[in-house]
Amino acid sequence: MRKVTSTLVAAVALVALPHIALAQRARSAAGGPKNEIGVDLGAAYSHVGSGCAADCSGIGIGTPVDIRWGFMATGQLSFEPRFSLSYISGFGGHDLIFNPDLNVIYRMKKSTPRRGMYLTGGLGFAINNRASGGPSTSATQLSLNAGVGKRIPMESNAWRVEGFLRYNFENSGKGIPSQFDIGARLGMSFWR
Amino acid sequence: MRKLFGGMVWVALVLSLPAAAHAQRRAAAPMGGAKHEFGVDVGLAYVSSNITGVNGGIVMVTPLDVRFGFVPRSGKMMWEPRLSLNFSTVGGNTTYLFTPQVNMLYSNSTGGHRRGMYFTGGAGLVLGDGGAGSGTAVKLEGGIGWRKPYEGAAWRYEFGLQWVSSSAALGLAADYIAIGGRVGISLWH
Repeated sequence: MRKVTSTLVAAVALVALPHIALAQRARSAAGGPKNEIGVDLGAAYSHVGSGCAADCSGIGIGTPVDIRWGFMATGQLSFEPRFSLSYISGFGGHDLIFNPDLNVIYRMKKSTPRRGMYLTGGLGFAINNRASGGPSTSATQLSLNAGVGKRIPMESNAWRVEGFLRYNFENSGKGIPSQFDIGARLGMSFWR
Repeated sequence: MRKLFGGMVWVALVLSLPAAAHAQRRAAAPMGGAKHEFGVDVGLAYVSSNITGVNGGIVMVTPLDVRFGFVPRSGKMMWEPRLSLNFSTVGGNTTYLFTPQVNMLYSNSTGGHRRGMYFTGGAGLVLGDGGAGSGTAVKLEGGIGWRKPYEGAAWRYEFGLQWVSSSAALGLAADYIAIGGRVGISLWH
C-alpha cells in the first residue's frame, strides 16, 4: 500500500510539474515586452532659412525614415532612440551620414504603452563626413523635434501615426542653413 | 484509503488540465501562426561599378529597406516584398529613388519560416531621378540566410549577390554588381 501511495504521490508531482513551470513562465511573461521596434513612412514640408532667397521650400517623402527602438517603461515617460546610417566608401571618396536622435515619449493619462495618444520631444544630430579626392570634411547639425502621436492596436502590433515639427539649427561655420520641417510619419510598431 | 486515492486522482486531473490545454494551444499556434514577417536591416556590401572610371567601394546603410513577408500556412516557399523610397522636392530640385522588389524565400530547415536556413532570390526595379533626368534599372539578386530566434522575434542574417542593370540617368545607383550581406531583426504578427 505504501508503494502504491508513494507511486501516486510521484505521479501527481510529475503531472503538476509542467503546470508549475508554465505558471512561472506566464508570470515572467506578464513583465511584458521590453522594446517597441518600428519603422515609418515619413512626409514633411521643409523650409530652408538662414538667408535663403529663392527655392527655399519643398516636400520630402521617404521610407524607411529611420529605425525606432523604444524602451518600454511602467511610468508615463519612456525613451526612444531613433537612428539612420549611410556610409559609402570608394568611388573616389567617401560619404558618411549618421542621424542619431533621442526622443522622450509621454503617454497621455488614458493611454497605455501599447495604445492611445502620446506627446514626444527629442534632440538629434545630423552628422556628415565626406571626402571627394581631397581631405575629408565633417559637419554636424543639431536638431530639436516635437510631436503628437497615436498608437492604434492591430492584432498583436500597432499602427503608429505621428505629426511632428522639427527645427535644424544653422551651422554657419560649415555653411549649413537652418531648416524647419513640418510633417507626419506613419508606421508600424512591434513589441518584443 | 479509496477516498484518498480518488482525491489524488482528481488532483492529478485538475493539475494536468491547464498544461494539456496549453499544449494544444502551442500545437495550434504554428498552424494558425503569424501572417507577416516584418523586418529592417543594416546592409553592408562591396559594390563594383561598371561605370567607366569609377572604382569599387564599400556601402553601408540602415535602415536598408522595409521587408514585409507573407508567411504561408504551409509549404517551404514564402514571398517577401521589399521597398525603399526617398523623394525630395526641396529647393526647387526634385529627386527620388524608389526601389521595389519581390523576393522568394525557400526554407531549408525544419524550423520553417521562423528559424533556420533559407535560400532567397529576387527581382526588382530601381526607379530614380537624381536631378539630371529619370531612369529605370532592373535588379536581380540571390542569397542564403539564417533566422535565429531571439525571444518573440528573430535575428536574420543574409549574404548574397546583387546585379543592377545600367542606366545613365541613375548614375551610381545603377550598373553595378554588389556582394555583401544584411543583418536585421524580424518580427511577426
